[in-house]
Amino acid sequence: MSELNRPGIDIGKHLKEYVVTYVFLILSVVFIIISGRPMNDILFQIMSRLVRNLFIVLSLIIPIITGMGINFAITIGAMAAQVGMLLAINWSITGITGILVSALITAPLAGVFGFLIGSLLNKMKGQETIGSLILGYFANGAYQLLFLFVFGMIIPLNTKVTIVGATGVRNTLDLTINQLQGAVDGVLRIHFSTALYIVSGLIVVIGLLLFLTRRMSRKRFITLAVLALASVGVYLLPFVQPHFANVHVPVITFILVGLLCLFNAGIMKTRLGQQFRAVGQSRTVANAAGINVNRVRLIAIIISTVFAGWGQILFIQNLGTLQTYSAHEMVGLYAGAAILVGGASINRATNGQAIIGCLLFHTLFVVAQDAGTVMFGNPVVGEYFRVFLCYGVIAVALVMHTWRTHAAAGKKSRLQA
Amino acid sequence: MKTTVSQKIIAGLCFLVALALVVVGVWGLALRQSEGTFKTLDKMCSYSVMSAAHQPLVEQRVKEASNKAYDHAQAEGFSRNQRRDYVAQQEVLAREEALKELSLGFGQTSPGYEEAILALDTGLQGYFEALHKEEQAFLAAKGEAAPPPEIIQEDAAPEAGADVALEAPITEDVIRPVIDDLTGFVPSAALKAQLEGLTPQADKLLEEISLLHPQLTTELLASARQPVMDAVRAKGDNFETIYDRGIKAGADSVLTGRDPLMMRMVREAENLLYLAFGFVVLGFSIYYFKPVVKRLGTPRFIILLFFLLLIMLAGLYSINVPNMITNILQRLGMYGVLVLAMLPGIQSGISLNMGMPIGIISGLLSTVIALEMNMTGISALVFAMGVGILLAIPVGYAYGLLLNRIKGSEMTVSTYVGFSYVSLFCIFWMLLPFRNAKLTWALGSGLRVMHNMAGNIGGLLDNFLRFEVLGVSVPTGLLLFLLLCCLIMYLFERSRKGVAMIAAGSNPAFAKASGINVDHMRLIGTTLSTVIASVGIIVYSQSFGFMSLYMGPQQMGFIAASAILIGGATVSKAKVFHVILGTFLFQGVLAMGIQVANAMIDVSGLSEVIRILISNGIILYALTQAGGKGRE
Repeated sequence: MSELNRPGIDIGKHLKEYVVTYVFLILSVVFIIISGRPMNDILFQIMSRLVRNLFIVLSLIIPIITGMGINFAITIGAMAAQVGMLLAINWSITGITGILVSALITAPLAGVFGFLIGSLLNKMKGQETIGSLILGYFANGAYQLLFLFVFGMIIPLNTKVTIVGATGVRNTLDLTINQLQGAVDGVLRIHFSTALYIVSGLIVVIGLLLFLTRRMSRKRFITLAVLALASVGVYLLPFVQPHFANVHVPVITFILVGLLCLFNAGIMKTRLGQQFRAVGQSRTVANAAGINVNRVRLIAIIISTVFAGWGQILFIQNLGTLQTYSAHEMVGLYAGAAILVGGASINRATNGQAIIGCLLFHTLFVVAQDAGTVMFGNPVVGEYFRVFLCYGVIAVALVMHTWRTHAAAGKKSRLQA
Repeated sequence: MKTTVSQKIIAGLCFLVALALVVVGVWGLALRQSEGTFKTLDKMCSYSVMSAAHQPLVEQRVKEASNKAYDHAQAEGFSRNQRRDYVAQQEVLAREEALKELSLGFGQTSPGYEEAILALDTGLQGYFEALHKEEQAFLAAKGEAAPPPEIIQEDAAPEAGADVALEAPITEDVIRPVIDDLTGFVPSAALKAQLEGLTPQADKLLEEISLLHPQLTTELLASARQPVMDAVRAKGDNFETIYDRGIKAGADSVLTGRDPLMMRMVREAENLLYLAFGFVVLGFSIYYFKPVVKRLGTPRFIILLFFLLLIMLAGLYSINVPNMITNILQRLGMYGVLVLAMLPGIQSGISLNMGMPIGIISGLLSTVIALEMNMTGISALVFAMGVGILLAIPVGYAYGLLLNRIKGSEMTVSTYVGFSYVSLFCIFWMLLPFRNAKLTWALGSGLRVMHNMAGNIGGLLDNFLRFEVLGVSVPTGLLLFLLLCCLIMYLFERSRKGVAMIAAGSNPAFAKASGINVDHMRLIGTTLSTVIASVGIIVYSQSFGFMSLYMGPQQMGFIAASAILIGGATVSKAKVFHVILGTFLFQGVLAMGIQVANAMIDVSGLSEVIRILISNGIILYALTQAGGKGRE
């Protein structure tokens, strides 16, 4: 979104690129008004959904940059995370230690799975999106097999997680028993106002430092500072502030999200990051430049899968219950739709797009049901509408991407002719 | 390509093992008729009868021990968990001890006892024969009117509602009980009287038992009456079940010398033959491994082996074979037309038409319209198909126009276009002005998710000219319809348009050079695929007996795609033959997988897992074959 601030930006082109984002923005505003839900409640809901989902959405960025499309196989990372959490619960490891143990189990598991996913996707170049989707479905079968028939029957588990008198793991695991619920979120929670002040302050201070050491342009610094101060100003308006009364910010979770953002941005400055970008732009050129394309793609998928696994741990600890057989199913779809809503495309994505997309997508998610009730007298319609939005966004993004590629290819061939 | 020496040796070994198994098996089967075997079996039978008679006594002792343990635990001040564990442990111990002590007497017999068993056995045999006859007559009378024997349907609206439920807890429908008898058969009064008439024989037997074992009081024996009668003879008893019952009661302790081994061999005779079949298949598949894999491709080879393995397992678990074949035939007809819809898509070059739900929804819509107008019978079917085709043509055409603009990523885009269309129609199903109370939710508006086809178009094709051969009920109309559709496609392939379409699909550049309008041909293929899908879902629904709206059609594309791929098609080449073979193999594996899995372990849900693995696995394989060409 930073492009807005650059001089001479083509507004028409910008609108064309971010049409989905703006449609979602307008829809969100309209739906919020229609739904008639108290703003207080909506903001509370959005905040908890952001906490849950941001990390996973951010894990999609690297494969997109590497030109592998939306990695729907992050569901497999989520499955690895659920295995980790299941074991932590089974061993009665409580609280933050339990989360750490599950994260430690998840990392190698998801890494190995990521390697397998990457190897397979390397065999279907150009079809990664559909490939990873179906791979996710396939893995779901294997996962059901594991949880229904292998755990409990072959690998012994204790009665905390198994169904008494039947095979397999329970449908629902309650995290409150082990104090895993909110184990990360609950470490430190501050009110929204405090968080806003701290973040705005940090932006101004760090910006000033960077500006003084000449690592940031004056214009950028001023824009950032004005934005930060303006948001504080808006927040302090008497008719805005009360709506945030219920909103609390889990600090640790957001620090983790921030670290992932930094990682995503930082890795692009490394050699590996440059390779990601090179492969994403053109496999042929990258190959000619001596980059091992398959290896780079493999690394991108492994990173993404591991992060998605950790993201799922954050998701589940926030939710408080683990739906053993279905918690992972929608991960890829929601995350993919969210990042596309933010204006990312099949081969281009940034942290900002992920965050804005997640915000807009989940805003609509929160209010769609109520809006459906108001408009059609039926909450189910709103429910179906949001499912439609998920698939629709992805379909539109895919179609537009293909058109753009065709247009580019057409231009190229015309130039050559 | 040559078969290596080690392969030859291993294959040879397999054949030798198979031969040995056949010899032993046949010998065992022959022994079944011999006098000695009968005698041993009788001995085992009387042992298990005695064991059954002692059951109440054992239970009594366990109960006593349990009470004692409970009191003890209370006195010691155990916690609730400790107490539960302790009591359970004591119960197990008491049961073991009681059985150990009492089983010494199980082998005791007297001439009177033997005679009493024989008398009761004869009586019961007569009863069960009559029961069987009556049951058959009942089923035969019912078969005319109602659909064939139960088809255990696992894939009803696969993953339906998964999206709708969103974060709601998953229901327990994965784990559902298996109901054996859905026929609704009730024995007649005469039969019940016949069973009552056996009371004196049973009394005599109980009396003989009490003579042998005075510690069994009249009360205890009274509660042992039913188990004892079951131990003498139960419904559908044969050699295997009697033997198994004896072994479960521990009757092998009364056998001497080589008897236990011999009896075991006789019991497993049939299974040995099935195993021999398995070894023969294994031998062949090792011997011809390379040529077969080359011809069929790895996945189809695996599926074929899996199919044969299931046949063997079905034999081992004594599964009703005619029932199974009926099931497979039914599924072949049910899914065949849907799978056929993939064919023109592949041929015209749009690869797997994952947007098939677009056509399916046209078919569903027309059927719902027919039901809304209270149409029934053949007119409803014809109307639904006709309107379905009419609806599918414009939609398919528009969809084809879209696909023409995204050449190269049809599969990815069409998957999501299909998903979007399905979820868009979820809203329409809620909002379209259907008023028929049979179709809409009782409260509020909108169409229901599942619609019963019974009484309107349910089973119309299936039951047309349905006949029964060797217990296999053949859904003639259904299969004929599938063949008709296949024939039309086959003829179309050979028409001028068809040839042009296939040319456009297999080599667009060449087709263009020869003056074929490639885009136009792709449009024809897409529209045709959409139209066939709309007919296919109607055939499916009338055979399945239910029609599922909303998220129901979402996964249909995947099922059809994997079936045609299993049949030998690739994402760019396909024939009618692939459709039929693929549907047969895929559905065959599923139909048998369900039954075998149910027989093997007492959990359902496995077949759904098998479906997910096979259907997605095969699509993944096809993708690697198609996308492998990608440049670095």
